[in-house]
Amino acid sequence: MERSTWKAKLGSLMLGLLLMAGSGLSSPSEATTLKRMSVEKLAATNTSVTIGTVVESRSYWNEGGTFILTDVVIEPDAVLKGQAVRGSRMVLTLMGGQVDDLATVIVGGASFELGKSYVIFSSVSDLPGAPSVSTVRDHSQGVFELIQSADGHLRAVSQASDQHLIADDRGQKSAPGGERGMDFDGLLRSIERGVSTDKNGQGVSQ
Amino acid sequence: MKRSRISALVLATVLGLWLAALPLQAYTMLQVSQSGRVTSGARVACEHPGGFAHWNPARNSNIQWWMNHFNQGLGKIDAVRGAAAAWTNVPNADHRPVFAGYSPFGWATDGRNTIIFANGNGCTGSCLALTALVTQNDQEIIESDITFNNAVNWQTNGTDIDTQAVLTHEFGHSLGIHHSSVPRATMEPFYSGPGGRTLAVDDHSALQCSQNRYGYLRVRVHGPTSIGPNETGTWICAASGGGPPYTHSWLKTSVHGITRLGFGMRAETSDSVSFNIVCDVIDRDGRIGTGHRFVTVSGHPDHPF
Repeated sequence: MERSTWKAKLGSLMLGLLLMAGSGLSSPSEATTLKRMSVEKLAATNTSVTIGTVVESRSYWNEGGTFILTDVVIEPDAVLKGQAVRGSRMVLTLMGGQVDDLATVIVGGASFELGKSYVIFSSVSDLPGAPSVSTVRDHSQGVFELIQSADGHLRAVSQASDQHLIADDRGQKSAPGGERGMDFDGLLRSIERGVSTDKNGQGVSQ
Repeated sequence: MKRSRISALVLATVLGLWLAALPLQAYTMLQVSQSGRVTSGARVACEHPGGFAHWNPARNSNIQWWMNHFNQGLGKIDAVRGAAAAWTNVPNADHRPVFAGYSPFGWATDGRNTIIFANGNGCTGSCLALTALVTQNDQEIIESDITFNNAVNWQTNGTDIDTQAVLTHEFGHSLGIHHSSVPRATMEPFYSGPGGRTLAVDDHSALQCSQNRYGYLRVRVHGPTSIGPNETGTWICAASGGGPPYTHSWLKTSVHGITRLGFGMRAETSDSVSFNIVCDVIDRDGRIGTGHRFVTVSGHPDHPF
């Protein structure tokens, strides 16, 4: 998506997302041990940044029968980085899921719910029995939930807002936006900064 | 008059700030609910009607952990033992994570709880350590695995990033415990150094919550309660009565005047089952009495009542 059309399309997207977010003031809360990453760093180091809605998910045993995986199908509303195309669905493969009466939970993993919209930072990586799949490499840090705040504004809340984080190089250890989340516009600006630094081949600070 | 109003205002402000500084909630538990959601475990209170992920110590109180000795795994046994001991030593809880030995296996659903230091397993980059729980119906945990990012220089000498502190935290998750809002609790969501090796009272409370909800059939035994606070004593209980075969999986002893005791048993049936539980109370001077209660448990035989 060209930068000039980015903001125009995001304007109408925000309205749609606001409607979808409704008044769901959920409080994402996950676990595990991750090193804190800024939005800029997430945008620069992942190959894809997408705003999209979950339309389907399917859990299954991997080829070796050693791990339950889940394919989550995303309908992109906007592609901020990467090769995905708006209108063409993308599939994310995640560790964990449920098959019959067994459930595998990745504590601190990315979490998705059918019909909900997210900002997703994804990359291609190897998972058990599933080489080179598109996944959320940074787990709960790589997903922001879109919610409508009490004052009607769209906010993006990191799923790592209650995460076992180790402070980054600047000493910050709260997920971007904390439990209240970031203003959606602010998140987009940070993503844009991260994407442009990556294009320029510059390193991104934490 | 004016001065008293100002004083009241200052007092109210100080009180408000103090209340705001108090933790809103303490420990929480990890709920596995899969309906329409790819979940990483919801955060719920101990009393949540939907329950939470848990081991069944009445079925097996020893939770055996295997260590994959490849990469950095070889030098971390003391850290594993230390982290396991922290949770084993929680009073009034019968979850005992123990080091079982080395294993060449790792991040797989294979019936073994394994710790592995790996280059991969979906834990690279910003991911330092990852815990997986395998649960079956009713959220009973039947396996857990922990993978550490081998690209990190894991320490055992008390400097950052401390293996034992992180492992103690991950063991907490493996026991079904989510995060706590109590500062400096091991299950606080932020890594705060080697201090995380030592559990806080709040961490104890979390495991005791799991024990009380899922750990055993709670039996109130009527009868002698005369063991004084400074005496040591032992409850010795036996179950008898009709119904299908059952096994005693462990016997909890009680001291210091505790009149409620846990009695773990597993009935080989899903029907209702009845026991007559008789407990003798022994103190240092010999037997001092007997208590008993006839117990009927319906439905899931491991369910507490």
